[in-house]
Amino acid sequence: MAGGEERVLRRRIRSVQSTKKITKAMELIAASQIVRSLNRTTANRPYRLGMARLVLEAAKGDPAAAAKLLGEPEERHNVVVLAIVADRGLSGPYNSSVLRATERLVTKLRGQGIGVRLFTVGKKAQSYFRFRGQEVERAFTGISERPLFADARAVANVVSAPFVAGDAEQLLLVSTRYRSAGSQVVETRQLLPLPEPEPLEGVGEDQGAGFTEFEPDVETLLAELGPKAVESEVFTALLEGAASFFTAQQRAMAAASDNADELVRSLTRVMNRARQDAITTEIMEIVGGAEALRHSKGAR
Amino acid sequence: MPDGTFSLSVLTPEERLLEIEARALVLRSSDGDLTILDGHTPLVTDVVPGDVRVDPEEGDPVHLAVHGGFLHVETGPGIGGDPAVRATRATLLAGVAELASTIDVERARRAREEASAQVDQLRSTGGGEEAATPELVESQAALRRAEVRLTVAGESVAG
Repeated sequence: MAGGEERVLRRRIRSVQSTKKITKAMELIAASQIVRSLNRTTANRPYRLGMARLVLEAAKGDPAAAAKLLGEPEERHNVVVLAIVADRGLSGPYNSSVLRATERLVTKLRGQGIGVRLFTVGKKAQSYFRFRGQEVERAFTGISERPLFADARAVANVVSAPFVAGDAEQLLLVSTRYRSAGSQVVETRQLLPLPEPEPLEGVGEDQGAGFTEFEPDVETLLAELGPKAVESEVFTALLEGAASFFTAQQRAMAAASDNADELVRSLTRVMNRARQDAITTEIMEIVGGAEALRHSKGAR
Repeated sequence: MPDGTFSLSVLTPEERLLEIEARALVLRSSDGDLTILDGHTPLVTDVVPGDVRVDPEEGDPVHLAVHGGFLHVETGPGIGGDPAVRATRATLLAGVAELASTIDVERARRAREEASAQVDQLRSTGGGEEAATPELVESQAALRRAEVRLTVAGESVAG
């Protein structure tokens, strides 16, 4: 009967509306978390820049030592790969794009006969690789949303251990970079050996170049600097990952809320038509009934 | 600046801990104690965990607990922003560092006890000194951080 259809639609509208309340709330929470994550990313920037300047200075001070310790490895037999994603989903393509990039990278390396040891941050990575039967050497969870430097240090120590011990020639990081509010991109970068430093703004050739003293010598310093730089890079990646996660989540939840609005609108339209049909039918029945009665009266 | 002070920043990954004009910076590197004054030779050095003293332009010295890091001293024309002026800038980069005034002595004391108990336990179960598991390394580091905090907090009280 027509009234039944209306009831079903009414129930669906209510359920969509309550889903919308949830997505809207998540959108607002994510938005407030973006600001917090971004503040922490901004606070991290001077340290990271300072580290980059140190490496640059050291590389200028003793190019021979730098050439040995910086840049692309000559041969790769074993590579450590670290993938950083989130613990939670409902964030659009944030997790899956990093995980797919990681999987492609691992497949490519293995195809070249290079051994890969995989480490991950985030619950989503753990379940993704377990489902695909890929072995994850160690999965860090519970740190991706509000990373502390101590977390970064713990991750950095574990992932750089094979390189430090000489069991791996390269350490690669796959994570999401926060370029701007509108642009977050998946990026694969080399953490160890330390990448060749790029010239930085504010460090001109004329600024005391060549006169800098090093204590201890550059080679020792760079060896000490390596693990610290990895800690710093991992921390930055965690912070930018968190900011990107919340941005992606906010966007996904805003889209979901809009979608819910649209769904409610079209369902309401269908429901109104159903109701109108039901009313029309009812009137027709009454009129038909009355007409029939009148006719039967007149016939009597 | 030509007035005997230089700009000093102490940076950690979480925050900009200190950003002042300083008269002197006293710290220890793996090669020995160092004092940085205005006009110091450009230098890159490591900083061993311990007390770092900063003498600001005015007022009492500021003590910091620094748990290992690096110091970058740049001296030259244009460092302070003005290409005509020769200036000095020192940047201390530390993974973990805090101002002596913000150290919670009670908490550091508790942390020292916990860490030292943990080190003992890991040593006895780990089987031998050379088995340096990541857990042992981490609790040893925690123990050292607590000790540095207590030393620095004590020193700043004493003088």
